[in-house]
Amino acid sequence: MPAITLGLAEVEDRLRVVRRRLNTVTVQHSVYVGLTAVIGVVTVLMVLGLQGSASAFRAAAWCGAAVCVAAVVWGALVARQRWLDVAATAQLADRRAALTDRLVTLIDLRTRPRPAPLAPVLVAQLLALSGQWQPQRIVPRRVPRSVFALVAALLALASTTFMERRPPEPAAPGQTGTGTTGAMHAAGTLTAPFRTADVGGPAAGGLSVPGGLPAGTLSEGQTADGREASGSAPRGDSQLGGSSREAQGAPGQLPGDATDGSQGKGAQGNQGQKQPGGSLTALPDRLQEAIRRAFHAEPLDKPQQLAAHPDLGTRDPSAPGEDQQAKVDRQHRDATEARKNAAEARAPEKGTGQGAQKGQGKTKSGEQATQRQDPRSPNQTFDGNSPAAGDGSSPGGLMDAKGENVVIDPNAPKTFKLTITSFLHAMEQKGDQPRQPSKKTGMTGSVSGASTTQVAVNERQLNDDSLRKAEIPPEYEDIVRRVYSLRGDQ
Amino acid sequence: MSVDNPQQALREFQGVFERLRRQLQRVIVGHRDMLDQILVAFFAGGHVLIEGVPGTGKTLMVRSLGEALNLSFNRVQFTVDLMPADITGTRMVADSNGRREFTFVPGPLFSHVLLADEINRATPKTQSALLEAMAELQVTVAGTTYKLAPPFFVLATLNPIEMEGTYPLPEAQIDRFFFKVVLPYPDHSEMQSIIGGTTGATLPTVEPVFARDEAAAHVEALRALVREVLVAPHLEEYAAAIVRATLPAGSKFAPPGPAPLPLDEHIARYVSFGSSPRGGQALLLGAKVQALLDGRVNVTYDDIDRVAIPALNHRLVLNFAAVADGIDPRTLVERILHAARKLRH
Repeated sequence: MPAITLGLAEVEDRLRVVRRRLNTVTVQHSVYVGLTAVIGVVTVLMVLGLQGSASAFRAAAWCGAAVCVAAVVWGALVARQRWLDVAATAQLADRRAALTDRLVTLIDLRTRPRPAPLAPVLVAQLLALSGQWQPQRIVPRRVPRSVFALVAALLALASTTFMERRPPEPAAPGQTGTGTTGAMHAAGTLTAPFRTADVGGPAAGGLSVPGGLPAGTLSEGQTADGREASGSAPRGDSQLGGSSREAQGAPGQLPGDATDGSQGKGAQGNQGQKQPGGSLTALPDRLQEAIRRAFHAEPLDKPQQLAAHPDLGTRDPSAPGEDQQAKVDRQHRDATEARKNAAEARAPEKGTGQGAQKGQGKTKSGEQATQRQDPRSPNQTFDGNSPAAGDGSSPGGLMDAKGENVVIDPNAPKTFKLTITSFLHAMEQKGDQPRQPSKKTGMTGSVSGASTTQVAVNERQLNDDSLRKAEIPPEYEDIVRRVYSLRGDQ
Repeated sequence: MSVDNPQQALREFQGVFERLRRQLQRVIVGHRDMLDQILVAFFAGGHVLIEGVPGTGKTLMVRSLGEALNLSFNRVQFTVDLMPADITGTRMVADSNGRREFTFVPGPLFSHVLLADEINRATPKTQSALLEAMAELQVTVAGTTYKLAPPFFVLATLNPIEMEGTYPLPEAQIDRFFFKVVLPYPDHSEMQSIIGGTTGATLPTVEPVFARDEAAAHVEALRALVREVLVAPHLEEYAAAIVRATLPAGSKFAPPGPAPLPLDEHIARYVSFGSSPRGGQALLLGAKVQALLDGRVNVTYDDIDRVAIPALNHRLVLNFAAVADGIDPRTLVERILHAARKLRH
């Protein structure tokens, strides 16, 4: 009967549409649920990354990975389980449209052909009830409700962009390194720019000076380990190396810029090192003051930067108002005192500097070892024969006083020479024989008096020799360089 | 009526059924569900066992059905001394053209509608005389098989309160009854109608629905239509699961393999033997009639559920514990149906 055949085709067509809609919704549901799970995991990880501890983040990352895998597998299984064939679609349509199993019976009749005189009646009844099983009625939603969960997850993820990073926890006092020569306490002195550098963001402003490297570059290789130790870890030898590198590549940049994740590395690298001369931890302060006064340093023209620096913040701004002679005397007295202290500190440091380097090289982890092998930061030798910074600095050169127009040559030598020419001139005037200094090679961060050039020094300079030979942290080299540059300008 | 025009056949079926129901209700007050069950069994081609206390209209109901169908009707009052030949017929010596020869004289079994009144009062031997006729529509007497003219419909009544001198029906006999219909006492309003309607000057009569010469053929056509009703596979599975659930697990006749439904603890405790496959046949055939009555040509779950109790309650053989605890087979079937709802898609 053609009419019945046409009716059957119509029923099958409609059933096909219903099936397609149902399966589409099923697939959408699975995808949405899976995506919701993945986005939820990412959101949790974001929150933990910003607010939580590293251990919690690590645990959440593993759990999140498991959840993601489980969600994907679950989604696939659900899609496979809910995927409807024609018979199942007919059953569902029967139930939802209250067709009293008419569709199922008809589909079964089609799949199991047998004489069925009543089949035309069945088709006719289904067509008469076609209003009840419109695809829109059976599958009213083209998009499953799980899309709301997906949207909510996306909103939650977007909301993490407004979340602020938790400030680093203050380090325990016992975390401070011990005995490393030239160690500097940075605890409690880190300011916002430093923390900004911790998170790897651009350290705009802060202690950077014109011509300095962007502080953001300092965050290369920084890890959460460095963040954990930030703010309190002592600066070890690795910091010395790193700071020297910064000083070389970025003249004029304050050493504080290097206060980054390498602190933690340095702290780790110093683990197990038994440094003699633990009482010399205060040496940098004295050295700094001594250097400043020995060279009649003027106060920096940016007090706010000095204030930001832990070691320069104690400078008395009222000093320029004093009598010049008294000031010079006092500075000379202080310098003498500082030289004595430096001489005392130098003896153990000689034995510890290189040893510390070796010990550090042995104890450092792979990453730190890699950093140590950075061509810009290996052991550096300052022989003192190079043209001095100060007034001898060429514009745009490495020791440009203003720190402007500095062109960082990537092929530049990895070491620089700092020669205090005033000493040389004085020696030439006095006619004293230059003292043959002990050649110290391979001591990172130390400033040797003269490694290749024999320089005659006068008595006063001889007294300064100990200071010259003292291991001066690179940041103080930078201070010296700046002070000299300022004087040269004047 | 022909199945070639199925729409017309469907309407014809519904019309006949309704007319029969209306005629029976002229003489039978109340018991509408019981009347429907009897008619369902009739159009499904089964036989009905009616159980009820005396005076509830069992015999009147059967006699009225025969009159309404306008089919041949016989009534046999079963007693202890009733012999099988009294039912099936016997060979008698007859004089034919001067020669004496045995001639088969058909018994009351040879009719379209047979009322076996108080069937449990006959001996099992006599009761068994009905087995072949009910199952195969034939009678074998003295080595000769005689076919019964379709439609053949047996309505047997049981008196449950007078057990003295009765013989319980053998299980094989009971299993051959399509439905077992229990006639309860009429309620108050029905009792009032019965009293008022049967004590007047004129008694209500039943008008035949079919003409006598075409009644049998008409009924057979309707029965054929019933068997054309479509059943989806999952409904066949549903009916089979219900039947399977009546079988106690401890029985040595229990089929192997897991049951679709968990075994009900009442079935395990109170049932000795469950339903036979005839129970499943009764479920589906009765459901088909129900579907036609509902204007459909396909069976649904509800159709099966509606006929489950009359189709299965007499097929559950209860043990002594059930009798001691007063367990009704109907409650067991209802429990099975409740458990089977989870099989519905």
